[in-house]
Amino acid sequence: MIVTDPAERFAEVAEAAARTARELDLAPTWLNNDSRMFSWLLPIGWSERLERVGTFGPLRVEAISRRDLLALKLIAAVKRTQDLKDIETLGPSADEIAFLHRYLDQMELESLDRASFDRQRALLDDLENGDD
Amino acid sequence: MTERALDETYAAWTRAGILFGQPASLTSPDLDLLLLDTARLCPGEPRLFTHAVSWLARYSRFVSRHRLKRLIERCLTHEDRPTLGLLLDLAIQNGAARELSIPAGVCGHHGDPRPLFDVHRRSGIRQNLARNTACPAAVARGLWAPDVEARRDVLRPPAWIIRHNPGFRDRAIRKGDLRCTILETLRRDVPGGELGSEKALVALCAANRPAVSRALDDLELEGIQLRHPDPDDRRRTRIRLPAA
Repeated sequence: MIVTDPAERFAEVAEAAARTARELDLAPTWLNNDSRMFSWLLPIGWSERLERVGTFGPLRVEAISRRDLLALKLIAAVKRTQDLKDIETLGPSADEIAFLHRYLDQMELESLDRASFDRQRALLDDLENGDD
Repeated sequence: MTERALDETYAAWTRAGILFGQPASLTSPDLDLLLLDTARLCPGEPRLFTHAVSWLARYSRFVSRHRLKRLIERCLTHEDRPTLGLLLDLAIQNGAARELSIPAGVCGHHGDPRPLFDVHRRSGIRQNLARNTACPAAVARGLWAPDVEARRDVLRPPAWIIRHNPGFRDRAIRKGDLRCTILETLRRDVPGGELGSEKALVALCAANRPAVSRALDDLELEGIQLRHPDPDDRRRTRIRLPAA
């Protein structure tokens, strides 16, 4: 997920990405912000938890924290099986499971249309408890 | 399948143009066999499944579909066939050539529906999730798996694919039709690239005799002469690949 602030500045990134795509024979849309519509799913405080990857010339790269990544994958896992497998591979700790429970509570609390995350909650219980 | 088979399959797809972020195989893959291996591995590898659907949705013309049909019937277990059928169905749903229904048509379905992916088989909760989120195409194959939306951002562009897999070019030009199957079958499946009769070729092509005969005629128009008189019996026709 790519979040730019202000959003319009993504055009500059897209232009550089298109140049890179031509140089490296990648798909023109290899770097895209199609999933920005899901940015509202990022847990509160995610930007303070970013982890430094490195600095490459003028480019500073940061990655989303492990627990924020787990949160996004938990939401997606209901419809994207690869995300469920990724969660299994990541093997969330007890602390991370607790964070994910709080995250789902918060999401339901803040939902204007009373969206429920029952399926995600069931998956989380399953991850926590093993087979039923 | 072994870890090595898994690595080789990912490497082969990387060579075919999927961006899996790992080294590509040193040689161009046999696409039709690669699809069979993919079907065998998919239950444990959901990302392999979705990316293969994405690739097929865009590059289905590279697939030699009659040969694929024959390989399914000869080499793929009944257990694995519905998985490949679903892969092909979802590719068509996402824009692949409708002719992929030729191999898809022999893939069948499971009478006893079950989750496609291993990760959904590990608990009752997950099985329920798989059943409740299964797409109609999967249900028709007796499988529970969510829908797949093909992604182009995980694919190399056509020019890269052809540059690294020159053999794909002929397949694309012939749109994966019976001419491709004839040539690929003789190149890959027939020792020495030679058969004793047109009838023997028909048996290997998963198509009827008039269709194979027309395809041979079409190849002749392209300048590829495969029919040769049998030196021992001039009434008979041998099928032979031209010397490389």
